Order: sequence, then C-alpha cells, then structure tokens
Amino acid sequence: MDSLAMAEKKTHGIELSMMKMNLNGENSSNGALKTIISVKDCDLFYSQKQALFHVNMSIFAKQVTAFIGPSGCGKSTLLRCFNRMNDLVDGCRVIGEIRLDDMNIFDKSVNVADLRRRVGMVFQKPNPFPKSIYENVAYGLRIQGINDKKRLDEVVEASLKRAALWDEVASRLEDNAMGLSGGQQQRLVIARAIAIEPEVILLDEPCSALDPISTSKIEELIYELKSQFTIVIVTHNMQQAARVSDYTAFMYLGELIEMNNTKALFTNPKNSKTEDYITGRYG
Amino acid sequence: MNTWYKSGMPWVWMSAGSVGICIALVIGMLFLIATKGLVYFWPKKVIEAVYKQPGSEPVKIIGEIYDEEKVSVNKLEHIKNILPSTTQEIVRYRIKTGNREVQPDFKIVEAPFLSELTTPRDIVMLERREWGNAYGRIKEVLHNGSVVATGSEAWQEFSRRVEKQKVLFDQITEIEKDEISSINYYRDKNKFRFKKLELNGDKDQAKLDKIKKDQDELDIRFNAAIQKLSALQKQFNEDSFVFELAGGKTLTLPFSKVIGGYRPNEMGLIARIWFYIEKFFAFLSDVPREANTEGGVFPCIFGTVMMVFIMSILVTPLGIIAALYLREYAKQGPLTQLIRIAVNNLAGVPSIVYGVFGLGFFVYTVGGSIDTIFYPEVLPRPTFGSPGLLWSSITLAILTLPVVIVSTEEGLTRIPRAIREGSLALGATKAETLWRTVMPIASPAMMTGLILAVARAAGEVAPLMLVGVVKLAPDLPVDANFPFMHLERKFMHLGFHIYDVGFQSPNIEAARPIVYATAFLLVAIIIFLNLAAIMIRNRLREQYKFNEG
Repeated sequence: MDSLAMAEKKTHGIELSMMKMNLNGENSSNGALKTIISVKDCDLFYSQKQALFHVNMSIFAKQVTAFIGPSGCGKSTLLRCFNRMNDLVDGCRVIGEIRLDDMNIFDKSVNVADLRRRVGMVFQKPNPFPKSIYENVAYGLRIQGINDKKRLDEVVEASLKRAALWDEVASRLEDNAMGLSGGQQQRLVIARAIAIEPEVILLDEPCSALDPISTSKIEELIYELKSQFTIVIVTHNMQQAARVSDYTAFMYLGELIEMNNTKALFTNPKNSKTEDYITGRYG
Repeated sequence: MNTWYKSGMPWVWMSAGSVGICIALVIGMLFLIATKGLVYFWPKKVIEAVYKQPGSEPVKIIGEIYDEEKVSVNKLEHIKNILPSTTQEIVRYRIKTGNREVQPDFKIVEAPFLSELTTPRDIVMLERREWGNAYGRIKEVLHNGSVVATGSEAWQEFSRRVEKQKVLFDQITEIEKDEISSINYYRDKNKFRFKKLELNGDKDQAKLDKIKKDQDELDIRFNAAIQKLSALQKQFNEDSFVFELAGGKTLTLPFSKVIGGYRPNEMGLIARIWFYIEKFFAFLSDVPREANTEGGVFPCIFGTVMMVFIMSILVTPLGIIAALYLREYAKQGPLTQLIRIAVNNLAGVPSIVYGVFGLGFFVYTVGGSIDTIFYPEVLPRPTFGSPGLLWSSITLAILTLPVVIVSTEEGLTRIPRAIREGSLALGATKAETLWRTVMPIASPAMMTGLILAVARAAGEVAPLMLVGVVKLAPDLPVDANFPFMHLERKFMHLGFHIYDVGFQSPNIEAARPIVYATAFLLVAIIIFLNLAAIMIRNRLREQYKFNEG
C-alpha cells in the first residue's frame, strides 16, 4: 500500500517536474517559477455524478493562469476547490489532494476561513454587500478584528487604488456600493478581495456580466495585479485568456486535457481536442 | 365581444374591482367610526321646549337633541288618532335630558307635540363626577350654606369657584394617588418583609428593629398625609350651588361633584373648537368614570401600547432566532418541513385557545411556581400567579410568533447565494456572515414580520380577557414606586374597553359615542404603530437593497 502510494507520488513528481521544465524552458525570461498550488489526482463528485477526473496541475506564483473549456467542463468547479467554496454545495466530495504551498487544503487541521483569507475569490456577477463602498473594502479586515480607523482608511485607499477605482469613488466612499455601475462594482469586489492581501486571487468569469469597456478595464487590472498576486481566471472567452494569461489550461468533460504556456497552447496545441476547441469546432 | 374577452380586459376589470371594493370598505369603516366617534366632543346646542302630549299636562324639557328619526304613524298606535289624518310620518327626537338622579337620561318626544322651542343663552351644561350631565340654570352660589352670589352674578361666581375647585381636586388626587398609595405600597412591602422573616425563622433583632423603624416612619407619613387630605377635603366641600332644572325644580349641589359647567348656546365657533380640543385631550389623558361610560381612556391607551411593546420585545428576537436556525443551520429535510408546516398552522389556532393556554400554563403553572419560590410571604395572595401584563404580553408573543418566523424565513431565502459566498470568500465564518451580512439584509423582512405581529396583537382581545385585562385597573403598570415596572399588575386595554363600554355598561345609550371614539382611537393607534414600523422598514430596504439573483 505504502509503496504503491509512493510510486504514485513519484510519477506525479516526474510529471510535474517535466511540466515545470517544459514551461520553464519557454519562459526563461521570468527566471525560476515557484509552484504555489499543486493539484494531485483530484476527483470531485456531486452526489453520484463525477465532475472532475484525475486532475493534476501546478499553478505558479505571480503568474496568471487561465482555465478555458466549454460550459460544464468543470473549470469553475476546479477553481472553487482552491478555496474550498465547494464545501457549501450539498453532497460534494473531493478525493485527492490540493496543496497550497505545502499545506494540504483538505486536511482536517485546516481552518477554512484562514484558507480563504489566503485564497481570495471574485465571482461571475458583481456581488458587493449592500453597505457603503468603504465598508465593502473594509469588510475582510473587520472580520479579522481590525477596527482601527487609521489602518482601515489606509487599506481602503490603497486597495481601491490598486483596483483602479479610487479616482472614481474617492469623493463618495460613504455611498452605498449598490449605486455603482456593474464594472465599478466588479472592481470594488476585486478591491475588497485584495484588501486582505491574499496570496492567490481566483476570478470566476469576472467579465461575463460586463460590457466591453468594463471588461478591458478589468483585464488591465489583472495585468497590473499580476506583480503582487497569483491569479487564476476562469473564462469563456478565448481571446481574453490569450490576452491576460501566462498559462492556460484547457479542460473538457471534467478532465484537464492540456496545460501549457499560453502562447504555446494557442499556437501549438499538443492535443487534438484542444486544437478543435481553440479553432472553434465546438464549445 | 369575443376579442374583448380574449384581450384579458375582463380579468383586469375584475381585479381592479376587487381592489376598489377593499379600499371602499376600509375607508367606509374608518369614516363611520371617525364621524360617529369624533362628533361626541363637539358641544351641541341645548334646547328648551314645552312638550305636551294630548291628554296630559305640558312638561318643560331642557336637553340636547341626540338624534332624530322619521317614524310612520302606523307604528304609533297611541297617538295615531290625534294627528291629522293626512300625516303619513312624523319626526321623533331623542333628547338627552341628563339629571340622571331625578329622571331618565333620555326622553323620546314627537316633533308635533313640541312647542316654544328655544335655545336660551343662560342654560348651563354641568359635567359631573357622578350621575352624568345635568342641564339647567345656576341660581345661587353658596359658601358654607350662606349665599354669596345670586341672579346674574351667580354664573360668574360659579365659574370662578369651579376653577378654584379644579386646583383643589388636583391636589387631593395627588395626595390620594401618589402619596397615600405609595405609602400603602411600601407599608404592604414592609408587612411582607416581616412575614418573610417569620417564615424563615429568622430572629435577628436588628432586622426586626429595622422593619419596626420603617413601619413607624411610614405610619407618621401616612398620618401627616391623611391630615393634609382631610383639611383639603374640608375646603373642597365648603362650596355648593343651587341648580334649577327644567320645570323649576331646584337642587343644591356641592362643587365637589362638578367637573365643569359650560353655556353651549353662548359659545362662538372659536369657543366651540377650543372646547372640542379640550374635551378630546381630556378623553386621551383622563381616567374613566362612571363604570367607564364617561371620562377618558388613558389607562387603556397606556395598557395597549405597553403590552404591544413588551410583546414586540419578546417576539422579535425569539422569532428571528428560530427562523435563523430553521433556515440556516437545520438540515433541510422532511423533519424541518414538518416543523415549518406546524409553525404555519400555529398561526391558524383560534386566539382564545392561546388565552386558555396562557392562563393554564403561564399564569397558574409558571406564575404559581414563581410565587411559591420568590414570594412565599405574600401567599395566598398571588403576585405573578394571577393574570397580568407580563402574561398577556407573553401569550400574545406566542400567538404572533409564527408570523415573525415565516416572514424572517422568507427574507432569508431571498438573499442571493452570491452575497453569502462573497462574505465567506473573504474569510468570514458562517456565523460572521450571518451576523454582518445576511441579518442586516434580511432586516426589512424581519420588520415585516413585526408589523404583522403588532397589527395582530394590538387588535386581539379574546385571549387577554383570560390572561390579564380587566374592566378597571386602579393602578398603571408603571409608577413611581420601586421597582417602577409592575408587570404582574392587571391592565386595561382599548379593545376590551370597547366591548365593556359597548355591551356591559348600564347606560348604553350615553356610552355609544364613547364606543366609537374608543374604536377610532384603537384603529388610529394600530395605524400609527404600523406606520412607524413601515417607515423603519422602508429605510432599511433602501439601505440594504441588493443585486437580485
């Protein structure tokens, strides 16, 4: 039993390091990349239905990784595993291992709230709280028990600036966040997420409810944030993946088909399914 | 026709029609009770006339025309022959003649037999503490039995002395209600302190001395108060006046029995409006007199509002917590569904059943236990073991609990998943998410529950008759005596007051306008409480509106 597990681990190790080598080779300008999230043999079930099959992948720190694939391929499901958002779904079970640095996030000793502080998330539709703009950004800090006005002021301002929203809202921080436009709301939600300084930010189709101008603003923002955060983005839009990401993973029917440097994946897909998808034959 | 039918217009008309009927009913009801109730305070002209029924002596009458009706002569067998044969119907007046101690309060007279109908300016309407109103003329004013004013001066002297008497009366009431009742309250407490020591077998001389000392002090204060009171009362009873009734009969009445005298026929419009406002506020602020048929309804307003407040304070947290558990923490399955159905059905249980339950469980079981444990020295006199304000509030809280639970649950289900996930994704625990995000957003729904609960509770009477409402409560549930809130006391309630005055009073005819006025007041209070809650809810809604879906 032990030897078997060891063997399995070993193969993964080889696979991963090979993948890393491969990627490193094509990204030599970035220097050595550090793996921040590693997924090992991940199977996920919704009650009886299996949604993810033996997914193995590595997410590199301070890089943008995009998940693409047709609807229902499990890309959002996989994303929601990274901060255990799937815990909220009744009857959802995960087998396998996802490591954030060296911590297995499914371990019993892991505090889910702490995990989510390290792995922030932005959802498909803007979901600001019906509170003031200020309170929205300060929410995560208040949860951590930080109520010092000066500290909050600083963080709110810094976060809004990083989310490229400060200039638009500086004069009305006490206004209700519901009065903002959809694009502004989405940037507010990003500011809210980065206010608590997570290591990873998960973006679940962040632009699907937005107009093209707002979308381009969010994309610029993603580009800016890359220097400080690891970003994982799920998107329907292949052009978007090509524009914003460094790495792209193509998923199909719950399996990870191919993952590679974005440029390589789009110009030279190894798998025929990937090729079919990116050339528009389905999805 | 067929296309009209297909266009759906008939349904639009039907629904518009039913809305119209609802509005008409509500406005009609409010209009009816408002007009019938609010005219009560308006000073009516007092007429003087001669009433002569054929075959009997002419009688002089003085009084207010209360109402009039047209009656067919065929119904009036005894006078049918006397009237001209062409008459089909005649007008019949109901005249409030007052002076209940010497004659019936109301007299029914037929218009054809009335003559010399005048409204003399010098007729006085007396408002009295006993026997209802009196109509007549002030002839003389007496001080210790000797005449001080007569003739035209009598009215001025009367008015002056009435004002003086008002001040005296207020002083006497203050001593009786505040000082003496307070002393008695503490004397009572002292007595039970002594009895408690006896029960416990405590022979501590220091404690006994303390009680004795307190008792003596209270006795001294009591005697002083009584002396002060009797001096005032002597002064209060010094003055009297001679009052001439219709037909020349005179009465000598003491000022102590009179609240005020007015000359309604002399009043101009402004004086009438002033009189109206004064009477209306007296109605709101006075205690009832004469078996509730006169005076004000202040204790009823106080009791109703206080009961609704205590009920709200009890039901809101309980209902919200129950709904939170049921919706957020309990595993959704057949059992929770069953509980939900049971909660919904609780709202349909007749209220009197809650009354019986409240009496049996809260008053006798819980209250009885409290008495044996905490107030053994007072027994067999019950403290909490008898109906009271606390038990009424709790009973109504249970009665309205389903409403609060159901509305809160509705509110919780309406909150989009995205908002909860947003909070959880920032590292908040479930409890923090509930407390900081979900509950504020659901607060308008909680307010809706409270609004419905208040509307239901304020109008409920049947269960209260079993668990705490009485016809006349001598003391308010709040006073200056420690511990200030006396939730074990019985109280008065507007709803019950309507029933009592309208159906249990000895003088229904005179009390009828009070019934309407009280009903109007009850509706007004419920509307006021609801409007206040609705305004709070709308502000919350504005504050916590969220992206749908």
